[in-house]
Amino acid sequence: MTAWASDATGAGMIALLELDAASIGPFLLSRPLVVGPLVGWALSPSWRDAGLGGALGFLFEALTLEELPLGGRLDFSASVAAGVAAALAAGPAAVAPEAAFLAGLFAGWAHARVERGQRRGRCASVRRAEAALAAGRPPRLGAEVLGALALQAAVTFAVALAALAAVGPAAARAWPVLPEFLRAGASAAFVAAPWLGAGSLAASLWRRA
Amino acid sequence: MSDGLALRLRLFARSLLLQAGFCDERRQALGFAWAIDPALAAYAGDAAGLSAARARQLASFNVQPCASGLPLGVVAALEARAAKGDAAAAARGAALKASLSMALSGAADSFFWGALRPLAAAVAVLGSAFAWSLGASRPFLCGAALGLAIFNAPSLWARWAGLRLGLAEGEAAALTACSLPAQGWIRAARVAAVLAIFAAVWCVLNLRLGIPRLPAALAFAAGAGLGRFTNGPLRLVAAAGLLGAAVSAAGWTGWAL
Repeated sequence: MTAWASDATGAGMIALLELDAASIGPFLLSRPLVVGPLVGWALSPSWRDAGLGGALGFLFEALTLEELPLGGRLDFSASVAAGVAAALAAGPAAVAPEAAFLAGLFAGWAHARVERGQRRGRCASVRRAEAALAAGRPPRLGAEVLGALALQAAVTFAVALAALAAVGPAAARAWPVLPEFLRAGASAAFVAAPWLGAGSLAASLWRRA
Repeated sequence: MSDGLALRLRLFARSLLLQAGFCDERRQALGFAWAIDPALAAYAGDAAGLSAARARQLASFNVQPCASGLPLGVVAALEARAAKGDAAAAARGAALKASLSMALSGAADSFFWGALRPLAAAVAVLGSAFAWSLGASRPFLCGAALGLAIFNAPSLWARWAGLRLGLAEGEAAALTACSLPAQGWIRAARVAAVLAIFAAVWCVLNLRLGIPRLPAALAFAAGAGLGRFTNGPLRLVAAAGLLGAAVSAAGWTGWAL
């Protein structure tokens, strides 16, 4: 698979699975523990790299489980973060897992900002429906819903593709030439992240139970 | 298939897209209006009544999506009464829709997001570890499938049962829902999630993955002890990165977790 085909496949998978985060369901198909293994499995040339996608997915799951989407709150897109990290690490680019983790964090942060803009723009759909009713016409609710889904998938595809095609190669080139102490810091964060996340989540659940 | 069951299936299927048109101003209004539309069209007496009923559903609405079945069913039942001439039913439906969304969201957020989702994730890790130890070729996918089943079985049942209850009982369904021991379920799911997290951590550390146990256990303890002060683990991860960089810069070459 060429790099472009791999990036497009990864971005397409992320865009479809991300719809489950705040548009369809939810069935948890957009959670990192599903996105990471699936993207890793689809893009990896070897069994070991498929496992890398799964490991990154579980890492992002542990980090983001404590964040609850209450009232539509959206600070970070865990599905995009896990998908981008898994595609970079397990795909043909074979980016170092630590660098893929950082690129995933950036992509998740960026997608959440884009999604906020989407949510502001969707208010026009309700106003169009109200205008149709006021004019005595039936509102095209189904078309509005499907349009919102299609736009959401297209925007997620664009963000994920940009991350995979631009941020990923840049991270792959920059990683080996970074000063040793920066790589050590990123490695420490990467290795400690799932345990810190699991511990924080367990304590939080126990306090509320 | 009876008309009632066919309508319920259509409402159920459409409720799965409740959040598709989520916007800041009206939240899930567009998705709710589309989800309930087959019921409004089935019950409507005339075009003017149908148009007024559709307009009512575009008011601001927000509920935890897994709990959306109950308000959908209750409002559909009350709109059916309104279409038959009960003048106050539509107003009662609008009031109940708003109050139910608030009352349900508190309990449903705590149960589905705050307890069942962590439980499903921990079970997914356990399932992956088990599949790995058995030599499965796709252990992470096996674990993920198990986690999805843990979450989706109760969440889809809650949506379907809420819809059925709301359609059958109308506003009385709210009282029935209030009598459910939701707090007990939430507490039990949280305790189960904590136990599953500990079991998952123990299993992963005991697999032959080359993960050093002491640093992992220390990081887990740090997360448990400090997570409440940092509002989640992300700041702790950043601190771990800074610490790792500082140790490396100071020249301790043995830094490798």
